[in-house]
Amino acid sequence: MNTKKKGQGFDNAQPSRTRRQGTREMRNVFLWPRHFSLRRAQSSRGAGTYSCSFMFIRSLAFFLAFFVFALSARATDSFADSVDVSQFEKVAIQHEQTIKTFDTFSRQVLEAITGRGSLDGRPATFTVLDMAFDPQAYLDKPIIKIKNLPVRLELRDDLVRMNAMSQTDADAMVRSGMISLNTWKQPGVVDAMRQFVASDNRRAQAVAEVETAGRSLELLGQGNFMIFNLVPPAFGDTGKVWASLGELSKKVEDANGQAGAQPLAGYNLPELGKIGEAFNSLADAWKKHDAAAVNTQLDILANTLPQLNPERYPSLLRRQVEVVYNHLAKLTLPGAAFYFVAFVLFLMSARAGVNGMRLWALRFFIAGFLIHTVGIAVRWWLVAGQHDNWFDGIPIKNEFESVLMSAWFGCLVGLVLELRKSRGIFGAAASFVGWLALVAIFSVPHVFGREIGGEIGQVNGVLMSYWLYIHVTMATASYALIGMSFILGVWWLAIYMSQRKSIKATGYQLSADAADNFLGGGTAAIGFTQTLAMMFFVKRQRAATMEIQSNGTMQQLATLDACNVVVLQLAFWILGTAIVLGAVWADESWGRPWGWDPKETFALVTWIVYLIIVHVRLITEHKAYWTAFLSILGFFVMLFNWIGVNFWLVGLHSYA
Amino acid sequence: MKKTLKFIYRHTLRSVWFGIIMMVLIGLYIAIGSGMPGVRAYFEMSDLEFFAAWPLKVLIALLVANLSVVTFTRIPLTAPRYGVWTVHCGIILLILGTGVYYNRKIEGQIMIPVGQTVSRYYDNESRMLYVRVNGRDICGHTLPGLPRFGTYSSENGNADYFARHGLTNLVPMYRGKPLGEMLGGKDLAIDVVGYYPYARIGENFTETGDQAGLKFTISAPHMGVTQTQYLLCDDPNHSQTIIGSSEVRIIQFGASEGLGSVAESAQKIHTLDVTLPGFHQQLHVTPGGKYVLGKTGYAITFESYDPNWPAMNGDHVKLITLMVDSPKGSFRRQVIMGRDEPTDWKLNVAGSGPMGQRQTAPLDNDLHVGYTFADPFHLSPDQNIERHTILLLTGSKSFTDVCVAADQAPKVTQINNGNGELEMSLGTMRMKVAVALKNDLDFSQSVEPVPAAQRTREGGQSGAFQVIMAKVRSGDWSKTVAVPFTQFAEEPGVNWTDGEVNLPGTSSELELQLSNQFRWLPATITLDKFELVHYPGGNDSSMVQRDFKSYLTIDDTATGQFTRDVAHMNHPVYYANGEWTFFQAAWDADGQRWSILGIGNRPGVWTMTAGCVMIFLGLIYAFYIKPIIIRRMKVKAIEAAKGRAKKPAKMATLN
Repeated sequence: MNTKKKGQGFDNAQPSRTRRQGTREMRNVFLWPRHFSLRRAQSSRGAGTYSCSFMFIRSLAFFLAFFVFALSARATDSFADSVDVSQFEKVAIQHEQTIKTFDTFSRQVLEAITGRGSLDGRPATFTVLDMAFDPQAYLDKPIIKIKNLPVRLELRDDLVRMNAMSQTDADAMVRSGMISLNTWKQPGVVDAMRQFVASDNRRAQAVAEVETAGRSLELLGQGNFMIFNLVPPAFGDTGKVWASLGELSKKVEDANGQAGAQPLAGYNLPELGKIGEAFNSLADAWKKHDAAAVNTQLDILANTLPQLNPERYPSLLRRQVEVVYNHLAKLTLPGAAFYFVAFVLFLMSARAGVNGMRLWALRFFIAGFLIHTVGIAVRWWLVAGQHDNWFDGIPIKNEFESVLMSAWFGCLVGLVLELRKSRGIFGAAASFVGWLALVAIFSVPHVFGREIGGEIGQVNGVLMSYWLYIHVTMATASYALIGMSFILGVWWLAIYMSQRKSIKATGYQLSADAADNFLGGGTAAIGFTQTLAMMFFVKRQRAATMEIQSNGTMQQLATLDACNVVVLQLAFWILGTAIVLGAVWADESWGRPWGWDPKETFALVTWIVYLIIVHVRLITEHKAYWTAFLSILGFFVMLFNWIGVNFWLVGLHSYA
Repeated sequence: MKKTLKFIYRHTLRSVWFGIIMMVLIGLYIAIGSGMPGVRAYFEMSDLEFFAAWPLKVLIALLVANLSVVTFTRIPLTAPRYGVWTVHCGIILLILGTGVYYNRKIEGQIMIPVGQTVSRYYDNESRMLYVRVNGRDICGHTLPGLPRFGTYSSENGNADYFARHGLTNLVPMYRGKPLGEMLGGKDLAIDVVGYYPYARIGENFTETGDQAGLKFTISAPHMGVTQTQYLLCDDPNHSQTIIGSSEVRIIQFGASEGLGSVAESAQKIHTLDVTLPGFHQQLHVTPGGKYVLGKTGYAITFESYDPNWPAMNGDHVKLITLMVDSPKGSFRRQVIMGRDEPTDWKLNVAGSGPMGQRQTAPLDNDLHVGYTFADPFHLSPDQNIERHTILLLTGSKSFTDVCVAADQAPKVTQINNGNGELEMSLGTMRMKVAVALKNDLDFSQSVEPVPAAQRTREGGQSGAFQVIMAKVRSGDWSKTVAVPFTQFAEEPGVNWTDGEVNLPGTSSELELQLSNQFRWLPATITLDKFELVHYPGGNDSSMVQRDFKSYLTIDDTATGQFTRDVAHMNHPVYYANGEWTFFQAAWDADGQRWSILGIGNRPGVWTMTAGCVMIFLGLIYAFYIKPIIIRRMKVKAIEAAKGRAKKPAKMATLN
């Protein structure tokens, strides 16, 4: 049966062909601005364009790689294809102190076992149900992920020595890191591995994770459906604890023989009976691979479970939104796609000075920003549902959410500045930050095998404080601005380095001050906040904004620097405020305002870098050069502080 | 001369470049101190020590001086410059506040068991060697120069570190007098001769000494296990162990009379007080035994004993299970020690478990069984495992093993010629263990550094694995012991391990322990209650928790005033107008029996806050208001110039 669909070219691994196609596409994209740039002055074309183009190709290659990655292979199987879980995946379940849809739950279960949120390209819900009803089929599949490379190597040697696996299979196991439950459970394997890891905590943790994964797989097969907390609290029960069918039947068993006992008081018994029956029929039908019957029972369950206590059950809308949100990669990739296109267009319009292109860039940017905003709003709504109030749901409590928010603030500031300034420069920097952040939070769990909190859940109580919102919001906003300033610095240096020989100007003439004088009064230095300042503190004067003509490298460098100064000033005082407010929070939570914790210290180091920029600008002639150079340095210090301190150092050792 | 000074002044204190260099150096210093822990470790400084070291102080002092001079001499106090002035004054204020803060800062912790009161806390930064005499009196000596990161020992060739840092010839003081005086006028001193930042204390037995004890040889060839274990007769710390899954203990007797009474008491651990109409009897019963109750037609079989049965209210109680055969039929009965109401189980009911069907009312109201438990020699195990007590007679080659288990009758094995075999349990299996009486045992301790890969970050940060080697000296005599670290050493209920020294010629035993230095709290703190708050659907073992709450009563001993407050996450308790903070730091993960409070003070905090506010306002002014003022001045200047002589204005000077 040939069921190949469009786009399956990605499936069968043909990296060379895909890459070549990708390159051709990229070249097309890249060739595009040249037609437009014909109208431009000759001097602004040259090596600088090529430096930028290198960046284009790199970014585009990454971008395409992630899309290829997202579309993974899908095996054909008539039963699997005919089972429709689209209703059942919206059923609610309580798991890890969170009420979530079965879809979210299944993704997390699969992630814990396989390191990915889905298997064979099938819906996670289907796979988890299949593991529960047809456990035999998974015993020999290599689906358990081993994250530690030395553990894999040792396992390979052990398995080959025990004749449990051929050398080729074992080598494949080392490459993929995947092992089947049966192989893992071979007599002697676990003992040998435990002995091997006894002297090393990291390896021991990797083996413990494999054991946990194996246990969850076994539990799914043995415990079947009885272990899922699918039953909402009974009528009249003010508690928030959901029950599993297994617990309920045990209650009935325990009460057996005790006079007057009503173990299931408050439950809707007819509906509960219906659910029990449906589960039994479902199990039978699943074992017979009778897709029609399975679909019938799944639909019965999906319709009956909410009836158990409609008041306490999450609304259908909420569950539907959660599933769609999951299916759209939590709106990260869609947003990233728009941001990327906007970035390319902004860059071209800033170089070429084409207004129509800038308009299109702005449209894409706003579309990306709207998707981004919706992503945050949906998340907020979903998380707030766990807490009964809006305030506790503000999505800024883990790495996923903080990066999401940070990028959003950066893009918001970028958008405001871009709309005021019409330069394309702020837009390019902001859309780059948005694109990078969204792609990063999508790909980090896949690439590093490390959970960053993408799934909706509860966080440690110490984070349930309004200080969190104030402090983290400001810190991440400053990080996004630092990212923008980095882009502007790189941009400035790229142009300057490539055309250094042709520039016959002093350093002073390439900086914001030149732009200032050239424009007759600080156009470029007026930011959004300055506008506010003018509105509230100083009588508004005639805004001396004169359009700068993009007719020379010199002016362009000066303008870039002016833009960078606006962003840097914002980053500087926002970061400083974030540090101080963090100290206030630390004083409340840890009993001391400042303890030279690495995070605190490196935030201060980052701030000192910008402090140095402010002062270097006062006394050097080549202000823009130093600013560009130091804003790149500051970005890396910030990156080390943000990611290095709590992610990179750990991630370095988890071989994924 | 004057010229040279002026030149230096112009290029240092009055130079912006000089200030920038200071900023760079300060940035580098703190980045290295925080990002490269190895550098700090090389100088044996904790992060607080590193950031309080003189180079940083000098750099900051130079920066403040430079900042003040530059601000006064080079920045005119005019409207556009108000922002800069404010920022610079704010920075100086902030640095002053920080100086006050770090001079008087204290960080500590205290563990409070629920319902207990504490008056001390333990300083995180400073460590102390505690000495306990004969299990009662405690004195201590601070160890300010003790390293933290490196290994120092004579094998490493760097043991001279201790002499250089004042860690030798320590004389612990007890109530103002040297400890030796209290122990009968001896001169007693302690030298630190080794330090291991992350190590375990290993115990080695060898057959080359002169101590009496038992050697157990465990061999289970099918499991690939061959192992030896030792017990010492005279050393209370090494007279019990676990072999396989059995507890084993030695008791030594001077005369044979005591020996017999111990073996006898094994038969009298469980006593039943049985009443039937017209019948009353007290029975000593053992697991597995069947007892016919006179001519009543009743018989009781003692099926099993559970030393740790979890009762409904959360207590753990002693419970026995009996099988009762009566004229009316058979049933099971469970009786809890000291409680009247039994739980009966009906046999052979369809659908019931292996115990039978649980009844809510007794099946036989005629039969009353009271249960008492008496075990003066602690022969019975505290868990559901078996316990061997080996009774030795001084000078004799024979010994006796009394084995008591939960579901078997006590077994007494006599071994006559000093060599024999005992049967012990290994999980669900039985194994033979060869046992031999030895008179040539020797026990020694060794410090085994933990390999880097086995260390955990938490373990390293808590300092729980620090070990020092301490040499206790008195006259010509000396002994070196390994002393481990124990948190909150002086608090009641904290167990010390290792570090024991018996002084020759006295009956005094010294115990040494390393811990953080204790300090007195400004008030006593009582933990009335500890509460763990989960998210819906969570339990005590969930990965994340909503909140931890310590309900405190703070009693100011000086004024007699007391306050009640709750320290929980993000909500510390402030005491003495905010001078002290008590905050929730940690808690007992299994059982919630105690809570750990963090103790801190925060002098200078308001100065620092004022500095920060000034910096913030100044920055906003300098970034966003100054350009507007400048622009207005430009416009005015241009207009004025136009009005005067149509001369072009000098714009550059205004920037």
